[in-house]
Amino acid sequence: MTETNDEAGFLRLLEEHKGILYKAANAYCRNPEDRLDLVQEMVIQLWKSYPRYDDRLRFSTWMYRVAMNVAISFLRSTTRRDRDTVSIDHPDIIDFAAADRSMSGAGDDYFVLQQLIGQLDAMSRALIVLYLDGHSQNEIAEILGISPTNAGTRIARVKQKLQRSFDERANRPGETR
Amino acid sequence: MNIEDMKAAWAEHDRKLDSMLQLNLATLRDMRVNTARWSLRRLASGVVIELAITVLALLLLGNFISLHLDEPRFFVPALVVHLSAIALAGSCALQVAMIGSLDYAGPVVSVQKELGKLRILRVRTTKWTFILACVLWAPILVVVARGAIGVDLYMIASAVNRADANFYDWLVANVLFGAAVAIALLWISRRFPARFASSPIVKSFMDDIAGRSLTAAVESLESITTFERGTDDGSSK
Repeated sequence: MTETNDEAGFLRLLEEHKGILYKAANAYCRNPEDRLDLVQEMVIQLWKSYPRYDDRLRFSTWMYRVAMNVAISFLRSTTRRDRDTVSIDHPDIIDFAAADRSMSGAGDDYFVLQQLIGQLDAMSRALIVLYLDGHSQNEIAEILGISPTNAGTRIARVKQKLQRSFDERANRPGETR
Repeated sequence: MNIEDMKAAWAEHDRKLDSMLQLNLATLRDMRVNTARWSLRRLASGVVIELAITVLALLLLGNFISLHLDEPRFFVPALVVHLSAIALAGSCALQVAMIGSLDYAGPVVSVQKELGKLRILRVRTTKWTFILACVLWAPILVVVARGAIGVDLYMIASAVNRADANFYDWLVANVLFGAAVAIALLWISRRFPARFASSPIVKSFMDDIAGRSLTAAVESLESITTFERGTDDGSSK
């Protein structure tokens, strides 16, 4: 495979799965500027890891692993000093504003869910985003590196927790949904 | 609203998102061309530079020690500084190895555990480097002054010709003074954390030496281990 084909292949796969960047960045970061930095770090890490990509693994699974690992590290880093990359002025990789506008019609529940996901710990966020994305219990276990049984138990537990939080918000006086 | 309903709604939003989301391919190509510039790994490069400086210091210290074997007033402080530098070089080498072996495409739990261990090692190294720098400032100064510009600080410090008789007292007094300064700064960093928060880097350093970063890093690692075992409730920490 030539370098140009390699790059073209990478960009094509990235284009096919660009939603992963948006969803992972949204799950771990709400600040618009940080979100762009996070996507930049994800893409850099994806490109650096791409030569070692083994196509026996689904690209989305591989991409989720890299994206989640970068996002969790980003979330845990308290200052830029701890982060792996330096932000450089550049045109945005993703037009977040346009994507946000397009999602503004998604309804209150969608945004409430995003807020509630933001209150979970880092690993549970990864778990529920993968679950909502339609991944099977085994796929989630493979991406996170835990046993399928543990994944199943945790999915049930996080769903219960989210449901409770949903219900509490709905029953709160003055809360409109 | 049911979470299962939400899952269906999420999939619907996903389809919409795919059609609306635009990747800036020109920027991505630029990143591809300038990977080295874009992906400047601050952490890795910082540790490698630290390791290179420490190794250079070890070589110079080794040379200094060999030239002053018969002069304990220079040999002893140089040996103490040398041993500290060996410990620092070991930590840096371990950090470089850990960073080099990280594969971000690995399972999330494994990668985060490795990152957690790395974070703990970095925080401990920062804290001990600070403590040793405070405690050993006098021996370091003695060795640097003698090795770099040939000045005998004992002579200046004692201000008498019979420096040999006083050098241990002078050195011990300054080591104790350095230890007192280190203890005072550690106390201040724990007592008044907000006073030092004007710069994120200063705040981070103060958190490192006060032990707050270590506590956070250990808790973070424990939460991942707990997640792997499956025994917590998923509340945000």
